[in-house]
Amino acid sequence: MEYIKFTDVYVSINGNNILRNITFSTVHPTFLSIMGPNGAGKTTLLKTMLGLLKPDRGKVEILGYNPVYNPISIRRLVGYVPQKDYITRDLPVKVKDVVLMGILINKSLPRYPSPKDIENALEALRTVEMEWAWDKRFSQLSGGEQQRVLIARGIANKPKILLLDEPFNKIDMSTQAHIIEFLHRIKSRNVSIFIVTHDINPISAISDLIMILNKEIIAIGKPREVLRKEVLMKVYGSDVRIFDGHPCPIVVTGDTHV
Amino acid sequence: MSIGGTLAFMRGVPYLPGESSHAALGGVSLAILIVHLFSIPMDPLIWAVIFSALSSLLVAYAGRHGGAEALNAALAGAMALSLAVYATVRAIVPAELRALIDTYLVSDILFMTTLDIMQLSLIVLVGLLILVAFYHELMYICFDAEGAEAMGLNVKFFDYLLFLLIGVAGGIAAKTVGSLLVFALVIAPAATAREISTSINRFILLTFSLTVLLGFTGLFIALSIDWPPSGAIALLTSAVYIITVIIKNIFYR
Ligand SMILES: Nc1ncnc2c1ncn2[C@@H]1O[C@H](COP(=O)(O)OP(=O)(O)O)[C@@H](O)[C@H]1O
Ligand SMILES: [Mg+2]
Repeated sequence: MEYIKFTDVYVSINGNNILRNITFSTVHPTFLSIMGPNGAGKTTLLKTMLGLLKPDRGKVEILGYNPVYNPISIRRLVGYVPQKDYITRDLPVKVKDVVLMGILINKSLPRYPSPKDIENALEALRTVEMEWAWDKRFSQLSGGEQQRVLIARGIANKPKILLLDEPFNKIDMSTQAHIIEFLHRIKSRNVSIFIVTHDINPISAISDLIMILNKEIIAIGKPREVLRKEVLMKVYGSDVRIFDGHPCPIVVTGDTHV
Repeated sequence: MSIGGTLAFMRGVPYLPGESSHAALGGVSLAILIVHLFSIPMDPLIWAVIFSALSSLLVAYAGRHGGAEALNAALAGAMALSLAVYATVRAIVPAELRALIDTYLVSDILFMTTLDIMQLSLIVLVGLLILVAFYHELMYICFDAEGAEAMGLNVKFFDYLLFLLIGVAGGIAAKTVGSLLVFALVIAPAATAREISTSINRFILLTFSLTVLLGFTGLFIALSIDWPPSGAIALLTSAVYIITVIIKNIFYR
């Protein structure tokens, strides 16, 4: 059952309907980029996959498991890199504490790391080339380095699926390129990657699929099929512009800062 | 107690220990009023801790349901209410009970009874055990509650637990140093320690050492020049905090 599938899923928060009629399926592993304006429900979609939000109706299947009924399996299968804006930055925690968090949280009490746990945490940091920061204080790192550490935390438990929420916010271009390279590396280990973004251009070339989301799925398909004016106009209105690029078209919306 | 200050800073609610110790004051006042009116024996210290813990949980509830704004409103509201209770009860009861209430406003460590000290030690011990057992969990929710929840942590439970610990610390502080001094002896050392610490362990340890060191130094100065201990301690901890900030800004820019 190597697929991720949503069937007619509706999700509400505090009685307000946020997502409706979400139906799609992907093979595994895949690289899916989810694009949409602010408030489109992108974060909500990720939280539904994690089982943090329960659908009002419809069915979610992740590699054979349902987030509502199999939360423990889902936690083992899915790694999550939340939007960094919500993280308390001036807390004096060390990088190793952050990465080990991803491993220890699934252990029973007392949660003290075994040598194996430490090796796994180091390996996760190695993947994002941040091993040198093991004993550094998290808040002393640059924004891009912090993001890499959070990605390491997300993969420390060796998940099959990695969800990332706006990982490129406030991050410079060269770090973006690095992170994309790391994601490539992670996917080559048979990990599916779902990445939420409001700027598609940096990742359209490596996406297997792009989903345009605005409360419902406006389009989902290969980059060249989705990144077209007729499609994007439905969400961004007539001020969306598309430039021919290689290998993928370049999209400029009101949201994009060029 | 000083750990309560550290936790409060980590969770982003530095004024909570102060508020909850004022709630303790309200709780003590109520307990004493009941003792006075109905002559039901009630131990003021227990009620101080219960009220400070309850008020802290209330603040946590407001924060969870209405965000940071509701949290701050609840903080201010709970503080105002307990002060109102304190002022009212103080006006009603006879002088010797009034004096008892006031020991929770400006307390004198030197006047604590053996029973007080035993009760306090027990509460502190239980609090420390909880803290050691759930150290990682509490740290995770302070760092990134959303990520912790996604990884399967019962964030709601631990958040309330955290507020409970801070509240209890506030209640204990009201008994040991008086609620007026909580800022001086709980919040100021934690603020100072945060300026100069590079890890959580050091943060907690530094706060603790600063509290003890400054508390005793203040007491010593007070006794030797015949000042009120509370005033001396408040002056000392505030001065140390201000000097730390100044030094840090000059040398580490
Ligand atoms: N905790 C919440 N309470 C109420 N409404 C919320 C909450 N979280 C999100 N929403 C609403 O749900 C909608 C979608 O949010 P979200 O999934 O975060 O969008 P996106 O990530 O695409 O910007 C928004 O309109 C937002 O206002
Ligand atoms: Mg979002």
